[in-house]
Amino acid sequence: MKLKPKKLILLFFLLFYSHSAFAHRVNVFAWVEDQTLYIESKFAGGKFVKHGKVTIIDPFGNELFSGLTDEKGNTSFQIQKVMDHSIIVNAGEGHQGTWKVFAHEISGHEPEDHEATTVLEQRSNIQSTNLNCISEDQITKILDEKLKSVHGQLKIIRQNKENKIRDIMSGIGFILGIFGIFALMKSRKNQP
Amino acid sequence: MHISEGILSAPVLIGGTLITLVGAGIGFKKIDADQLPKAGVLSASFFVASLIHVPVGAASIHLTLNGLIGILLGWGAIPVILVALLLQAVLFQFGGITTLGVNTIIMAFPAVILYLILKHSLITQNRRKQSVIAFIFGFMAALLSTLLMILSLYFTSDAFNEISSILLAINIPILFIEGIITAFCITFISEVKPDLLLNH
Repeated sequence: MKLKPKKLILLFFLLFYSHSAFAHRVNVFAWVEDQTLYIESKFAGGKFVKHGKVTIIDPFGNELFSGLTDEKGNTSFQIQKVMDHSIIVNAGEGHQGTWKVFAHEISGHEPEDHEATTVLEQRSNIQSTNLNCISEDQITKILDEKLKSVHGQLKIIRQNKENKIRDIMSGIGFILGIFGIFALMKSRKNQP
Repeated sequence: MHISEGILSAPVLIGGTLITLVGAGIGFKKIDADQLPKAGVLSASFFVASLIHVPVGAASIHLTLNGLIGILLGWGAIPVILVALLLQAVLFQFGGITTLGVNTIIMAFPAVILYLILKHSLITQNRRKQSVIAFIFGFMAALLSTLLMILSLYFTSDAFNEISSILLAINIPILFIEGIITAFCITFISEVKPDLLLNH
């Protein structure tokens, strides 16, 4: 098979220009700010998903957006409608991660469902209420909403900081245990 | 080489699971009780080797040692790799539960096919010939695994057609590494414990 110059250059680039490594798991996180959906994607080791394919689909499976992440694994999307947004980041070679932004997380638009309406109504009620009259429930709801993006980022950090050695050792232990059970089963079968 | 959840189409997933179940059943029957410790160690080796990733351009590659497992276990390679892949999916989210069948086919079946073709040629007193055959075993097992991965992606979506040659190119270094490691291991085993090559 003869390789064309373009393919040879691509092959050379792929083989010798090695930059960020990545493991298989792709962590995706998205949050809403000022009618914009911000998307962050990283591999399990913490490396950015550079130029990963991002697809956003609506609840009916229609594609709303298709693009690539930047050098830092980020991209953004201007929200057109209040509804659930499913984000898929494909890092190639069968590796992808997903994240769902629910309608009620999207603010500043006319809500379409009951949940989103409730959240927005609560917010406008709170704004017009004297601070002294805010109930504990309302404060909790405001804080929950504000801290959603922080929670998501903490989740990613926690996932990345998993004790890999501990998991590897437990995996080996499981394997040896499983084969121990197999040995037990076989030895019982062989008993006269 | 692990395909994640949500990539493959349902027919590919179902077909892969069914074939793997049959293969694992045959493999499990063919492993003798005294071979199970060896199978456990090989499964653990596969589990750890697949976690070591080498960056190649925008992707990463990893060892599978499926050629070595094929030489030492034959049909037993299927349940051995299935168990390791299951734990990788559960503990590290590498691959996935629904793709377990397809991933097992990708990594275990080339080992079995090569075992059926080359098993007799490995039993030789000529060490150099044995090393060369072991290298071919490791190289070809990794190559067939890569081709199977490309094939399963091809049957899922046309979008993967364009990157097929790139995927193959990315995996070229690992083919040689697999071949060299397999040749080294088999040479070592035939020196210190040759009966490991004969008793299955």
